[in-house]
Amino acid sequence: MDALSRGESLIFFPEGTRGTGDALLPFKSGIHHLVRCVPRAEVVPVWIDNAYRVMPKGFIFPVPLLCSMSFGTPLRYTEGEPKEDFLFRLRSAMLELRPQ
Amino acid sequence: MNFPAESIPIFGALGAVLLAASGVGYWLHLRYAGGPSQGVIDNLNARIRAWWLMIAVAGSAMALGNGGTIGLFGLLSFLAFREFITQTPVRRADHSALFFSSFLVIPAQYWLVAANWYGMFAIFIPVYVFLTLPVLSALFADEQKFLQRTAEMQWGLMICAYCLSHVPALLTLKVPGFQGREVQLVVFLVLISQVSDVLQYVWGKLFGKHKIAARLSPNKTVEGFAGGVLSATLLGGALWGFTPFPPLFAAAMAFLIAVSGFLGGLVMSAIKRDRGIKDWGTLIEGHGGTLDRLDSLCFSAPLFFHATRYFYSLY
Repeated sequence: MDALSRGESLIFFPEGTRGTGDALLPFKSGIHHLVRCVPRAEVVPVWIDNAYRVMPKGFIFPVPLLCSMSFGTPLRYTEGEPKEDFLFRLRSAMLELRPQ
Repeated sequence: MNFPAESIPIFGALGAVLLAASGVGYWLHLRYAGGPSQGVIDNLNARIRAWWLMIAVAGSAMALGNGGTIGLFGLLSFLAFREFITQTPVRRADHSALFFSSFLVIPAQYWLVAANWYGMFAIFIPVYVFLTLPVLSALFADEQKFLQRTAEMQWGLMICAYCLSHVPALLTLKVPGFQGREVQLVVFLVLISQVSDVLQYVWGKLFGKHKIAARLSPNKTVEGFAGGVLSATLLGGALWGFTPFPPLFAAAMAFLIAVSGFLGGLVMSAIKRDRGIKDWGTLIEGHGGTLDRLDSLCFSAPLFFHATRYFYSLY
């Protein structure tokens, strides 16, 4: 929150953990809490494709694979927006970036 | 720096051809900018720029001696295998097998080249690694599509590591009267294989009508294949003085490299088509991935290696 207030950027993983690659996991509420405290921060949705195969949960070493990152249009938190609505909006924006 | 003197004319000629190609590319760019063929011209220029870079990398590696050449192909194997397994639907249980393949098998295979241990070089992957990989996967007790997963990893290693390692393995051949010049075999193989690809493309673009396996690759035509293979064969024959072979044998070797390279490209196209991709990666602008450039070499290298070893090398 301090970093965001100073105008710095923050990389945030709303799933809160590594997934299995089958589907996007439910988002934790942390990201909503953060933007509610710093509403002027822009939220840029990013989709990292294939990263779950590089080092699945339970392994301590990576394998070399090609990954890609897609960036979407920035979102903004609107004052008083309920947690579910904001998380749904962010989730949809991220799913739109998924290749094919 | 000890750049092999005999190879300087080859690199000089390549530089001259590329200089001419860059000039023509620039002229086309000025002449047809904004026109309907802009995309084709941009791709052509990107390819030419990438050729400058690829030749610079190959030349620098050669200047570092045998170690540089072996290291370069080891790195190319690693990059190619990475592209291959990215397109392979392996499962979580294969993670250890993939780690083992990428970080242990590939370096070990190239170490065997450097150590000049031919017996182990020839059987390490097809015997020991092929038996170990399914064991590593089976330990994670996931039976789904087990044979398919194992076969795909094995094939990836076969093409990207085993076949490609036969290029630097040419350095270990003992051809009487040719000692100390083995790197010229590497230059001959890579040159003929890549020039044959380019010539097949050019002949195909100019005169191509009858498609070969149109479903797999729209760019492969009978005219491109015949013209490309014939001109690559002639070039190989003309370069006989650079090789340990007499003229007709050098031409026959170039023919072998060109035909097997074409077939390699066809097989790799079938895999790409099945996976629904056009290129293996995006590493080389205009060309696609490492494997897009090396697919023909993967097939021609073992054949050229064994033909040279059988007919010209002392065991």
